Amino acid sequence: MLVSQLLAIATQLAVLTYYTGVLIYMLPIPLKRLKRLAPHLMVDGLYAALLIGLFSTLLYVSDYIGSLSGYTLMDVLVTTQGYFRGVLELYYMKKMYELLMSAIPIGKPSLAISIIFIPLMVVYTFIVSASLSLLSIVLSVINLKAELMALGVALYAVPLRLARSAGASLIAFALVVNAALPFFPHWMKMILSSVGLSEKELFWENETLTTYPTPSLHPFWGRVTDSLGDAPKYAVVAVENSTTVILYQTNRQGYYAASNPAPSTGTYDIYVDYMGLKITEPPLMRVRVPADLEPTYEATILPYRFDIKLSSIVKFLEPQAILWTNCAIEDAEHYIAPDGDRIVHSNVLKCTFMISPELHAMMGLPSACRLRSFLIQPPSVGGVTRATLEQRDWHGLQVDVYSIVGLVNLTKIENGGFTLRIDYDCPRNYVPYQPLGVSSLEPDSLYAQVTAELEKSVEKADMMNIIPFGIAFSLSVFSFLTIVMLIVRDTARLIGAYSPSIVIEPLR
Amino acid sequence: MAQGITELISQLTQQVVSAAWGLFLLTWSLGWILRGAPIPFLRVKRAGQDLVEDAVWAAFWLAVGSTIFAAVSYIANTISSSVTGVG
Repeated sequence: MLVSQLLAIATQLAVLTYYTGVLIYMLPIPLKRLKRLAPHLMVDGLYAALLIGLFSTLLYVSDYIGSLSGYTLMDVLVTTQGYFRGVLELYYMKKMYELLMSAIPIGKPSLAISIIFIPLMVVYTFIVSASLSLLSIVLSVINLKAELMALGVALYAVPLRLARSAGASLIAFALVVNAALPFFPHWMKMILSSVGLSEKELFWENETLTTYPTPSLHPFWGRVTDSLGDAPKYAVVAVENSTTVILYQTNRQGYYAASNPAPSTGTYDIYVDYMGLKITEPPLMRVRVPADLEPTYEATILPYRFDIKLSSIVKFLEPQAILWTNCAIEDAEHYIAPDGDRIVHSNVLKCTFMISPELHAMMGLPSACRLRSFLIQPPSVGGVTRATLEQRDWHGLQVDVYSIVGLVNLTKIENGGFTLRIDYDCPRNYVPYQPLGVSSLEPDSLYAQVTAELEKSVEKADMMNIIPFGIAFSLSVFSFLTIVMLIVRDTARLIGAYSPSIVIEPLR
Repeated sequence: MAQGITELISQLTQQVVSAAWGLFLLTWSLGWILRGAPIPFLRVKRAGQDLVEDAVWAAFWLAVGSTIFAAVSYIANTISSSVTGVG
């Protein structure tokens, strides 16, 4: 992802800056002016490293300040789009009148219509320019705040302060605009009330808007892996509390996005549901949302990350299977061999740490595949005593769940472990099954919801107040943006102009 | 592409670090040569003294570089966890 790549580059650049400083320090040239650069460079490197470390926190604090306003950036976006649509309809209305009037064969009625519409058209221009300025800034911050900030940090870390002010400006823009723009509705209410428009006539009080993404929803994402780092293909991640169960599907690489619908604040049990087995290992993860989630901005609109790493007694197998047993799997090897129109999968798993001599294993395999053998090796250590097969339905896929019991002679175990060898064959053209249908990491439906809200807000537009409203709206947009940009400039100076030179001051 | 850039930068860093170690020996010995030179110019001797001091300090910062970065990221993590825990 772009953000983590930019941050990786920034980290490397910070290290390079520091060591360049040391190199200049080392030069055998007794020039005070040259030598004075050295501690500056070293401090710059450390300062950039600090910014990289605080990357998520700074965005989090900025979000928090913005949320104090009671509005979200989405509210500002939706409402501004509503105004924009409103004036477009006004323009369309004017065109329609002109068309109708031109049908009357006396004089020049379209000219008269144009004259009547002059004040409206002036206001139209005001609203279009103001709402487009606001929209471009809101959209760039909603979609790109993490990217802009990461780019800023990377530029900031470039040695010799080559791009430092550009970087500081980008960081300041992302942070300040993200924190300040949710306060725009308050500013606008103030200005509108000063020209005699009451708050009730405004979209901000539209009840359909306030139900749209509130700060109490916490979308997050993460990756499901076993202890050896292998991921399941299209597993189901269940997020459950006493009243609801929300199911999310991972993609082929094990990534899931808990965003549609996103869980609200509360405590949830999170477990993985894969191939007919509900894996509560490590013992049922009880997660407080959002306190136990890790704030990160690698995926822009999913601000939290929660990785599910299962303990070593669970192993995800190819092409879509799972083994859940009672010994720790330390190492796994996987071989495939073609056999006619089928492919034979051989798994050699190194098993250690057994407390009881009884080996219990549950294995979920799609019914299209056939288990060929399940062996404990070497044979002197033990063998399988009982195996039962149960057919289960896993979200519409027929799954064979094998329950296998074996006996292991603990005294004969060498090097602390033994080997499980599991062979099964699957059709050559086996396609991993998607239990919940199409999976995607990005919640595309977010904008579909926004558009639906838009339709409603436009209906409520009151065209009679359009002239005082249009003037007050454009005035409040441009005055607000001016103030925000002044704060952005000063914040950029604060980040870029002062460095904490007290950290290292070795030169006299 | 980003992979290429990070590799390029880390190679540059390695070159800078090895050049700095090389320069340490040079600066240090040059400093002692100037300091111990049998010429009665105080300014030259002072310059030699400065070079030796610079070399030793810079070697110190070179050696503790990774430790300092670890400390900085530790501080940042501590701040992060305390801020996000409250917010």
